[in-house]
Amino acid sequence: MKVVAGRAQDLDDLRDMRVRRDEVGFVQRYLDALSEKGTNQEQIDDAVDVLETLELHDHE
Amino acid sequence: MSKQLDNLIRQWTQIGAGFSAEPDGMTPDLERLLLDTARHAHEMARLFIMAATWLHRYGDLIAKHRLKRLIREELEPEYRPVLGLLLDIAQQRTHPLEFQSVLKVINPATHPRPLFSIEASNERLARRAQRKAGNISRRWNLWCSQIEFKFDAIRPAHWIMRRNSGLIIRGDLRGDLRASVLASLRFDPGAGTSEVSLAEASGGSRAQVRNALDNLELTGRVRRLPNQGEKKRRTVVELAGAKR
Repeated sequence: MKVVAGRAQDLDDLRDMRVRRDEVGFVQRYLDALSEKGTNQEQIDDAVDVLETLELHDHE
Repeated sequence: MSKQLDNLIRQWTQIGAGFSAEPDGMTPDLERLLLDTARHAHEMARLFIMAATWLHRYGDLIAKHRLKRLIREELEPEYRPVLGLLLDIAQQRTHPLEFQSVLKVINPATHPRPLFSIEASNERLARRAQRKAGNISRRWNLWCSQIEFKFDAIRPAHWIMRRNSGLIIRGDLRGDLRASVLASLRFDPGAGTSEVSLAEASGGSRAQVRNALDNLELTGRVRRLPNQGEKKRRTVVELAGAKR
């Protein structure tokens, strides 16, 4: 949800969450599903922008 | 979270901002709290949003003359536009515009950039911030999307006043020069050593401050005492109830 909302405070939260690669894969599949359900493509593209700029962490 | 940011959050919690932190325990110097917020808001978007919401609701509590003086004398130039944007957002839909007199002493950032570090740290996020920037933020050359006030995350006035009784008088005075005089006497060392010092600290002219003191003395809030221990006679000013 934070990736889709994409506000500055969400970006702060995503940084603090130290997102893992497998979680990004999950969100990517979720975004694909949203797209198929007819969610606004501009919103999806925006979320992809956020997703692709996340610093990824392999281990916690 | 840095220690400074942590301390800032505790001060905001003390005056009713809904962070998950312990209140500081002491009523902060509100005007210097705004300066510190401007210095650190780029690190934490939620701090900026909470501060804007609080200021929108309780802007009357800010001593405007003193704030202007502190901006000119203590706030580093690179943080002034951040404070300008914060106050400008906070004063939206207030009548008259709450911080207009303060905003006259602040200029927009010289070079346009994202407001928040998280967006400034990445070129793609910076472009996105520019694309989504609201009109007010564009005016200040600090890109951020339109802020939604978080009223449900701000404590009600009675909660704030119960824990910060010193703010009640500020509410009565609605931020006019008398509020600046009282805040300077409370927080600026040496401000009460003479009327000239007090005028400098509070941001008013000497005549304005003398006029404000007449009223504050009339209502028992300050005392003026002649200091005859020096060759040149001057007036010492202190908060009523202060120990000598």
